[in-house]
Amino acid sequence: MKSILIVDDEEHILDLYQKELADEGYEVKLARDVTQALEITDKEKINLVILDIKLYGEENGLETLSLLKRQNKDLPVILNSAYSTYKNNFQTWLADAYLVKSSNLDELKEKIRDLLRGIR
Amino acid sequence: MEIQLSAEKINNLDLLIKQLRDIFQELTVGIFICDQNGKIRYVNNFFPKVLGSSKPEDSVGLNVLELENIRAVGIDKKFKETLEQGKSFAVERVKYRSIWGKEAFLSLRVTPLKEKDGNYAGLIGFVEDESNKVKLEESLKQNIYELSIIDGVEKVLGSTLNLNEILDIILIAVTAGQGLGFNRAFLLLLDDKETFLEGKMAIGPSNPDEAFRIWNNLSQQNQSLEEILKSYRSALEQKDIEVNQIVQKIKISMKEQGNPLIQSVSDKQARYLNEENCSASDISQLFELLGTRRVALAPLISVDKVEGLILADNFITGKEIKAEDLKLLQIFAHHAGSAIERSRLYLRLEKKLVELEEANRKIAESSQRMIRMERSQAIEEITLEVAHELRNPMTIIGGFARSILKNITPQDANYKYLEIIVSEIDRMESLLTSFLDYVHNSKNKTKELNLNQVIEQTLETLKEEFREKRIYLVKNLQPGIPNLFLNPAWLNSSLINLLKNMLYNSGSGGSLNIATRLFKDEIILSLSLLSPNSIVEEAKSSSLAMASALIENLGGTLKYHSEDKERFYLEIKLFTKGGQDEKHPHS
Repeated sequence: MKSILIVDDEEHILDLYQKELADEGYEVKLARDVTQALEITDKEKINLVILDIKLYGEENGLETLSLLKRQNKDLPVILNSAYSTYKNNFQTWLADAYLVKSSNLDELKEKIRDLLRGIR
Repeated sequence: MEIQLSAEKINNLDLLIKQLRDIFQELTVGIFICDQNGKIRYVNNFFPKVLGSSKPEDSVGLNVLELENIRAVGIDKKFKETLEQGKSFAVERVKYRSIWGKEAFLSLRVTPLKEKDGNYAGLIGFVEDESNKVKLEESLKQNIYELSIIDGVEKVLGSTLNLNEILDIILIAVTAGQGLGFNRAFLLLLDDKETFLEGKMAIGPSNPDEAFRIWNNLSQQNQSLEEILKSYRSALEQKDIEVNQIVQKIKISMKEQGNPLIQSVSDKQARYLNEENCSASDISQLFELLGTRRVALAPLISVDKVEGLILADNFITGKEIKAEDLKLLQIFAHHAGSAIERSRLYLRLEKKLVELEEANRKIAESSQRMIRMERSQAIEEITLEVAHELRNPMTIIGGFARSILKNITPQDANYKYLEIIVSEIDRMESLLTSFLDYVHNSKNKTKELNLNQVIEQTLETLKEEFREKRIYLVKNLQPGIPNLFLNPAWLNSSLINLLKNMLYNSGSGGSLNIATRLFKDEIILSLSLLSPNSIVEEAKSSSLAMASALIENLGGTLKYHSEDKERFYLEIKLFTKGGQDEKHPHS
């Protein structure tokens, strides 16, 4: 079973993604900040990370992205944000995909499948 | 009729002469004694000096009643009255030409000589040469006259700072009868580069008829110089067409050192030019143009700077131009030069003042614009923040509604309502996306900008980051590169993110060389990073591909390569405005 880490400071988003992705057959891990996220990726086998950019009002999702990539450059990371403006930010270009949050999770699920299959 | 003098009378006179001789001999006044017939019996040693003869004996024996020269000035009758009626007389500063050819202003005092019996024995005269005094007085009068003219002109020149008015006043003062009294005046000024002396304007009648009409009209008005200077301008309007046509034809290169006009400008000395003192080759053209062969000229000087030259002549009257006319013209030209300089300084000051006012206006406008921008930017940021904040709850509501929908059948009582929630959330998300796209696009309009300036601003923004990472910056920005025409926000964002990423992925220490250069229609921006432990190479695959896409959106290209782990080179090519127009003529 593939393991997905969701990093977001919104509790209900975590609930929604956990439910939906579990329904898709993934093992879902949750982190609410940078420290938790890095602890999990360090200790556990994670196949993919879904990362929010703004955590508690700060842009520290970008910092997390860099740290995750330094930790494991092959770990696929999907940036998932309510903000589309970060698309032009060079720091987001390290991510494997950038998706704007939507109530329709079909695109997210499809991107997860692709990345886990090695399609970028 | 000559009286037969008795021997006694003669002896008495000779005795008197003998008695006075020693006293008179050394006096510095001419003294002569005549007998009753007017015949000179004695002159002292100084007398010949006054009249211009060589020795006293030359005058003895001459008769004052018979000399033509004395008759010519009308004092022979006065001598006669003294001899016959005993009347004394005096004449002051009569212009006299002696029989020895000397011309002088003489003062004469004559007194009758009486004998003991009261009869007249002759006369004694005292004569003084007052020529030097007269000359001094005339010179003083001339100086006073010159001063009064200069004072009058100075007052009027000081009343205006308008250059055209000053030039008018200069010309009028040179030609007005109450001024310098020349017939015509021409004004030549040095051009801005001081390479040519060019005729600017002139004043004066074209022919004797016109001159008579103007001068007659002005003389009847009995105005002072100041009044003339103020009113002359309108009186002469439209009447100087011919002289102005002449002056416009005068243009002399400052390199023509043989030309007397250029010489006058160079040595700052006034000159009187005529056929005798000028070489024909240098000046004949000017004489021909002016229609006269006698011209006075004086340089217009202010402190050490020559502004131009005044040319003046007596074309109509043919009156001789005297040394004092030239002197007065030179003095006047100095004052005129100062007035021109004063006006030019004022104009420069006025220009600076306008520039200063304009700068102040721009600063005020800019600060207003800044305030407006900051205000609208703050509102925009809040709006965007709110819009983004809406997306999370919409995602949650819509997401859960979809999730529930998947697990119930259409027969479920809530199915229809959940469908409504999903549909409305879809609509809201769509609206939100459109709104954010609109705001984002309107923020990113294309405009003309200078890449070097954008780089400088970007480096200033990242100054602290470079310092912290101990990355030394080397800038080689080609000055004067053409402007680009593209989306400033995109370019700014690209550069900031590109540099941030390079900084983030570089180790501590090293250098970054940033260079711009123009090559044909393109501006090439190169970034060359030399830093140990750099992981730019590792990061480049995904991030630089996206950077490349963004630069392509700006109409440019991005290439990169790394020689080893420590060296990373990136080159961006952007089309200049001209190159872009050519490439995309309709964009």
